[in-house]
Amino acid sequence: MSGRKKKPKGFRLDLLVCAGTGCVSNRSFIVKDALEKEIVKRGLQDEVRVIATGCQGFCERGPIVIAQPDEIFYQRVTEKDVPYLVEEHLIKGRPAKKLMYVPEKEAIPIPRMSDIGFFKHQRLIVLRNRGRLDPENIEEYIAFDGYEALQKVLTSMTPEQVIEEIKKSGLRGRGGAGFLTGLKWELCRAAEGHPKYIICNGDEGDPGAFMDRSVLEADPHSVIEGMLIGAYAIGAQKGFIYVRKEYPLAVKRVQHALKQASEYGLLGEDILGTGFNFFIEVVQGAGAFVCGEETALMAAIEGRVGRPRTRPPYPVEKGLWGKPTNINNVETWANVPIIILRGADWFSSIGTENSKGTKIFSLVGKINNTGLVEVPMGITLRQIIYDIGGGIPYNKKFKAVQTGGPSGGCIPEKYLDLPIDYESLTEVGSMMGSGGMIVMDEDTCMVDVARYFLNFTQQESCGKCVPCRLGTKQMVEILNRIVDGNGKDGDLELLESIGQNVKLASLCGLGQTAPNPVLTTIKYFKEEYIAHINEKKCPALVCKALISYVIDPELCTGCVACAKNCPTMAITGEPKKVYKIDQSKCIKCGICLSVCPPKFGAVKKVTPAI
Amino acid sequence: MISITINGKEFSAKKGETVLDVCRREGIYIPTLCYQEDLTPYGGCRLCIVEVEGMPRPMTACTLPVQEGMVIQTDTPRLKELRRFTLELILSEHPYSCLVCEKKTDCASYMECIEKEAITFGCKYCSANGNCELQKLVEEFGIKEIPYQFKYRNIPVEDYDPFFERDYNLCILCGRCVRACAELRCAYVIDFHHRGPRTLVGTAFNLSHIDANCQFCGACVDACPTGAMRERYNKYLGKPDKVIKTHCMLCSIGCPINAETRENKIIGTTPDGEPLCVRGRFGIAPMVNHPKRVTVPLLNKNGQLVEISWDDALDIASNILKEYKDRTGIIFSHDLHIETINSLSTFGEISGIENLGVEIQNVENFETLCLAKTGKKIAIIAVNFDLIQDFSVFLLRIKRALNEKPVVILVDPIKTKSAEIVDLYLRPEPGKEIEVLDILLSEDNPCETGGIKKEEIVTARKLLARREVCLLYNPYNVNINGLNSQVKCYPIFGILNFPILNSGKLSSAEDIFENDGIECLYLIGTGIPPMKKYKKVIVQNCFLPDFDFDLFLPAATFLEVDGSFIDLFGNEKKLYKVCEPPGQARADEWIIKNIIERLDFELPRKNHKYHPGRVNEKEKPDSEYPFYLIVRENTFKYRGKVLSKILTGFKRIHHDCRLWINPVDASRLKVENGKPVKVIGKDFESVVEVWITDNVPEGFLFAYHDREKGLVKNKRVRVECL
Repeated sequence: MSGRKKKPKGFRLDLLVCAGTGCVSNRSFIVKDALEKEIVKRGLQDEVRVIATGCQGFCERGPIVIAQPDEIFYQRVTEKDVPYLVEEHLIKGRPAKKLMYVPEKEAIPIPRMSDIGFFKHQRLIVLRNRGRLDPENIEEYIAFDGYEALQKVLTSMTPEQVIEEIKKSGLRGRGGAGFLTGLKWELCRAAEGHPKYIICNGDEGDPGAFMDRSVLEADPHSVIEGMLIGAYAIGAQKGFIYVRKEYPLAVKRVQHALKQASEYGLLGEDILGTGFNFFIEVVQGAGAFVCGEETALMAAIEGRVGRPRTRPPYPVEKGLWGKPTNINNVETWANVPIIILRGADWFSSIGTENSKGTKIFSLVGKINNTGLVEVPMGITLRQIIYDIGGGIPYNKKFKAVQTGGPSGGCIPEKYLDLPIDYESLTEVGSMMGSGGMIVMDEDTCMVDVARYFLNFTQQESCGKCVPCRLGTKQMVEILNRIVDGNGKDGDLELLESIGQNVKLASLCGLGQTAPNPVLTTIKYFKEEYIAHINEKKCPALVCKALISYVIDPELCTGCVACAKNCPTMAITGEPKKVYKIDQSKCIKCGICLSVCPPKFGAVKKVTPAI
Repeated sequence: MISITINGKEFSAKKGETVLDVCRREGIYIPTLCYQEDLTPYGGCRLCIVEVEGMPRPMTACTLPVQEGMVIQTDTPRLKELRRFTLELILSEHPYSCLVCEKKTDCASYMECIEKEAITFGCKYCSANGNCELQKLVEEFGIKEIPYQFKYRNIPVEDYDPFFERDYNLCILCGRCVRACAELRCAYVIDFHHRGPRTLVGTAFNLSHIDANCQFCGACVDACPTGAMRERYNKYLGKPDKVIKTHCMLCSIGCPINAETRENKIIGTTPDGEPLCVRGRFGIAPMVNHPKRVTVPLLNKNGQLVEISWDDALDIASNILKEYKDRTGIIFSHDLHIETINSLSTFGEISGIENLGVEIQNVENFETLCLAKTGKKIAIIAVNFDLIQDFSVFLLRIKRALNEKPVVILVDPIKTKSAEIVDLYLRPEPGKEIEVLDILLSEDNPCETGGIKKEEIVTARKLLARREVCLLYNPYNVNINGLNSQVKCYPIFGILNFPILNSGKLSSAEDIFENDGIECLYLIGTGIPPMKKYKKVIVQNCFLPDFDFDLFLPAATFLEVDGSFIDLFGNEKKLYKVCEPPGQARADEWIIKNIIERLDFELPRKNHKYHPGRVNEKEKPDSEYPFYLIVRENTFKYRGKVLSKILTGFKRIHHDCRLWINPVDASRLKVENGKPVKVIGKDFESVVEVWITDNVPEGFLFAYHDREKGLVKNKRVRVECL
């Protein structure tokens, strides 16, 4: 981060308050108000400015406040901390230590943002403007070279040259499938039919993924500019941004950005006086996961039920209302302006041989630094999880990482040094997907995880094709019985065969990938399945039916904590003596385990169930 | 031409064809479930998958457009396995004991229970047993058991709508019904609900089909490959053993039908190429097999109906006719076959009975409807004409003939269901239709006319611009003689055989009634009640009339006799004998021929006296009779019998035995929906059930033509509560 380049005259300091959804729900607007009041109280209003920015990515530590130009990073700031922060940083001129980031294993706070591991290893291209500009102010975007790429394209490039440049950059679709963006544009340009449409797919439905939302919230103009360039290259006059209704802030910011762009003559008729016309409409999705599939999304835009149809014909030939349509994901569009501005050679110098540029991942799960990270292709999982993510909390052991959303696969420890790109992830049974990354530690039961994800995809299946609707349902049934301790011989083989067939026979990407979590966990964690089926054991002590809670008589001191809290009176005994759990009454709620003082640690889970 | 290779052989295909099209044409078998020829491909059942060289996974043949040089395999081991997998999955949700039970061949002989498949998870008594596409495929694949857990969805059977029932436990979600409803009928009544494993077919907000404005055309029932949607009437009547092609005679369109019979009894009718409406699809078999049909000749002996033999009946009939000779009047229905009408004219010649009247009035300016492609785009204006209720397939036929959707404007003071499907609905004040048409079709400045706003007229003119305008009207419901504009006008009416009936030789029923010399009536296939007291009344029909008679001769319906009729378009259509008439019922021709044989006399001819039709004088508003009653032709009848009176399903969808009244008037008179009221005019008094609806404007009443109730023409009336 280079910080704000152009500091407007008169202000010696900017306080950037993160206004991404994570921080907002952690009351960052209240913090912002408190800061403003405090600054006025101290008479600093002419020296210090408070600005709400887009998501900084480090959502784990929100609300985040960054003091510029020194890029001092303050985390978990509450309104109570405001007087202290103002006193220390603004009045006394020294960083407020108490609010700084302290890595888990060390004790020394890190004041500067760029020194923090989470930020240090990232490479920001799509998120280049995150946290450094006000997403609701187009002038700030323009100040950071915004719409310069559009100007370059409209004034000095032919559509063919634009397509050539994008092709040369090697940019691939960031929505999951990884189709070459430039090639798609070329096909759409060559397709017969008029008018042509372009669509920005912002229907981010993966649980735990929020990169599209973040881009739309933090830098909506980069998406709009990307779409303008795409429209020029393809020959489209009308575009749609499809955003989930569950992203109200993103919808608001995009709509605001569209309004501003129109006011500035960057959208609408005769853009920049070049005779090029382009209009963008925002369509709000009603929250069906399957609408992220391009044909279902187009059906939804047309006002029909969001259900996919078979391809071919592909959308580039017959898309929206049967017309040639180019559909790209938010992240893909946001890549476009900077490729044009800095050149294909620069872009293709980043990444691996077949996957160029960077990818945003939402790093969640059992990891210290939860948040949004943008990394160059080819980085290893280990670098993301340990260098950026700060490792697994409580010194637990890493078990697996699930990439690519609910229909991605679980990658075990042996592939931690795998350089990430589209092909390598597919090779190990997972996928790039839209970039979800869920880290799991030793306490995670892989059978339960597989069941969880499959349950999600099967509930979200559109119900149109048989393999996806009924195949995933049967798989969930089998997983349910395994988890309930009723697994039987042949279940594993049946699961595998259904999974393979569902992948082959399903209509759309949802069904074609839905069995991935099951197939990869069977592949890499087969012994866990066998333990569940044959020995009725859950090695990770997660599956309720296969575990029991017991009190270790050696460790129990009779403190009564467990017995007092047990909701079913299953724990009996006398104070100062050893307590016992009556298994017939126990509902395995786990309260006894959580209330047993750690210094005793007498309540334990055992498997198989007693 | 595109050349593609299928299973090693080369075939040529046209651009735009799918792989399945080519395979079907070339006789290469590919199993399908969700595919139906006249619907857009869906690709949901995944059975028609084929291997395409260069593609990582199999593709559905029904959706795959051919491409030059494509190399396709339709029957590899992998495809077989996947198809089997898919079928087994379908069976994990579809009650399947009828398919895989090892005792399925003998269970019918000793398990004579009639439990529905909804309760028993499928058995020989599934109504689609033997007629189920899924069953056939399962047999073909030799599936004996499935490795999956069966999940019964336990969805309540929807049996609250007339004509057909829906048991979605049997539904395999192929979507054929949904597409048929939308694409073939433009009705959009059903669609998919929910998603994932909860996906279900149904109406919006789970309304009943009646409330969802379903026309009960049965397109969905015909599209269903399983027993999920079944016609109620023949649900347990078994598979037809014979199917005979004939025509429906229940309205003047005369659609081709497949009449299905079992053991020489009609059990149902299905469409034969052309779409059917509710009457043709669900009305024919129950009407023909109706328990109230009279199947023996009846004699009225001092108020007691006595069954007699045909010999006696024919003797009695001929004796009456001999006795009354030229004092006899014959009134017959337009629903008779041409052959019967011809033999009736012979009858007149031989017997000298020239007082031959048909139950319709003359219609001037008759022109056969012809909508041949003119090259120009067509716009249709329908005036006082219910496109949906009376002629629901008419618009579909026009669309097919023109190969495009014409612009349709409806002008009608009564808001019928058609108002919801047309491009523009204009609701003039009653009686102002012609004024409105004139302003629509002229080039004068638009102005508010007859209750139609200026903007509406502007919109209508925009729709009509640069199109050839066809005016469709029902001559019974509107008189277009006053129209000044030059436009092609086509009268559309529910009457069959119109060209021969309108030839001018025949009198009308009114003429017969006005002839005071007539003392004996011979009513053939008509439900017109005698307007005064006659000495003798002979009735020849299928159902007993609502009035007194001396002799009843049971006649056959159009499914029980060979013959022909003339449709609305002027074409002669053949009718074939599908089943035997029930009991002793006989064809009209047979009865007439036998009576003629017994009449062995000749009489000098008399000049036929032609009475010109009376002109209806427009009555003035009157405080005594504050309502103006609008009467429209009821096409929902056969041989004078209104179908709603014998088949309850029709009563529920067609408010044709009711008096329509505006809610404002209803609340003022304090009448309740569904309750009977007394309608009083200057010359009649009648008791009718009311239907409160704003489909009729304030101050007006609406009813379908009903001679028995005296509701025969527009007139001023008052309404009294009972």
